[in-house]
Amino acid sequence: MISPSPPEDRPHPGSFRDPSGFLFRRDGVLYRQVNAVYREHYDAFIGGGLYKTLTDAGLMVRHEEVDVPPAEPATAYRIIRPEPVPFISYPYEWCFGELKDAALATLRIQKMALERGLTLKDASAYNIQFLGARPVLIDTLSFEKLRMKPWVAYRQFCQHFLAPLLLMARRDHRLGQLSRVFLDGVPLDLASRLLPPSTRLRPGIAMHIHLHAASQKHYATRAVELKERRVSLVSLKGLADSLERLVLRTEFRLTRTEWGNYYKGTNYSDASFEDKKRIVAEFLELVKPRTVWDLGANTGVFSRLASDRGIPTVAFDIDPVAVELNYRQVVKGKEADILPLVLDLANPSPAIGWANAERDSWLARGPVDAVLALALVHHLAISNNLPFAMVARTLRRTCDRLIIEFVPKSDSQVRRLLETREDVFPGYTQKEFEEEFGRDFVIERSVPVKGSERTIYLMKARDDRA
Amino acid sequence: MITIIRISAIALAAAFLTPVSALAYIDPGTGSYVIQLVIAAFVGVMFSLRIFWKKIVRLFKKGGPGEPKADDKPLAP
Repeated sequence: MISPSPPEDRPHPGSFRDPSGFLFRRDGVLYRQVNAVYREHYDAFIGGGLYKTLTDAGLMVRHEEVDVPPAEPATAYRIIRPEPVPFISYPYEWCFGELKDAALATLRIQKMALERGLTLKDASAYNIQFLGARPVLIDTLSFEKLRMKPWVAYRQFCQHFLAPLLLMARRDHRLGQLSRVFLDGVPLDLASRLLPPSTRLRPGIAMHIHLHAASQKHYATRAVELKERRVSLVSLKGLADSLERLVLRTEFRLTRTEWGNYYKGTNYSDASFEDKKRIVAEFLELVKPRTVWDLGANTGVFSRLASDRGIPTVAFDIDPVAVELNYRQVVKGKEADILPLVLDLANPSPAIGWANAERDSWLARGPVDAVLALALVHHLAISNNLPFAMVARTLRRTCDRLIIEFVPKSDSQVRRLLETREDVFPGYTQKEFEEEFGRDFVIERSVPVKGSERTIYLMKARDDRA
Repeated sequence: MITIIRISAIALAAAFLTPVSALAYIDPGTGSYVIQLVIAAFVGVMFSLRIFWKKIVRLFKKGGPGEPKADDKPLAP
């Protein structure tokens, strides 16, 4: 067991903010309890047809009402079993395109809800998950009956979606990482300061970020009496429409060099590259994993060897540009089984939120059946000074089968890494690699890649080291 | 309406004259509520105008020679 799962029949530790209900797990199955206080809204959501409209449009996870004893009978109205999501990912792991599509999905949902007399009461990015290239809303309790009041989730939408998108597009794409620090989205005063001054002249950004932040500042220390004010339906639709137009216009532009760099820059000849693909495919056929993580996936060429076989595959890479290119390919091909995510393996997503339990760490979301670690180990061992033993120990926690490539010091890619640093890695040899990995894994196969000095291994985790 | 204009004037001035400080996230809720009333009123009007404009454009397009009208469809036998 990698990390303790929530205790049986207890609310999920990340599901406590909303009094409308909560998630709980029983016998390994995830359920959602709908509380009696939410009855009126839940009935309107289901009975009014919005649930059907959204699920038919592929914007919402399906659920089934089930007849199982509630986790907290005193407050319960219904128990539902939502369709499981293969891998839970978080906004700070999404590339620009994923965050943008999640934002657009949220706004489309809000517009459809308004048409049916309902509104989103939450616009949290954590309520969106990816089923392949498709962003879906997973929180069935996100709606309430429309009462012609201001959109209660407006600030949340701006903080969770708009601010990080604009910062990534107009300042630096690495600013997407701010979502990891600020659990409730990027504070708008911070976004306002970080955005280029010229954005004050863009009406959409000026309104939803700069004016919004200024108004927050203005009222932060003033006691004001807020009278209940009505907002017309057309204004609410206009608000969603204005946000949608702004998000649609926000683009992540790649320079020509950035594009080009991903098509060259490997030292593989075409023949070696094809041989490497053949070996990995053969290992996948042999192992038949049900789930795969590709670590250091780049734009996902090798991840697709798994996902094209219908295996749910998460393609992690440290480089947001590579992940963006991968995601664009996923969208273009309407690929269902691959999810590209940004992850720094040397500092992976931690457990965050209240009691470090609201959002799981990267390791806690495993293990999977098989991990691909191709052209990766030299980056960990040489660029990050990680001893083989530590790499093996951690990879042991992520999978049962490991498909890993060893890249020797004589390889031009490793020589390049060593050009700018002192060679303090006398232990970086194939023999040492096999010995250290051999403590955590049984080496089942090893195949040299034709026309290169590299070797690809198939390893099985040792049970006694679990 | 006068209140809304006053609020927007203050907010506009604040946005363009002073850098926003970290104080804002002590209670960002009130400011978000107030500014939304202003923004929603404004974008609501724009939204209505756009829909109105689209309708006019469609009307002219419909009236054009190349475009068959909905009523022109042959009746089902």
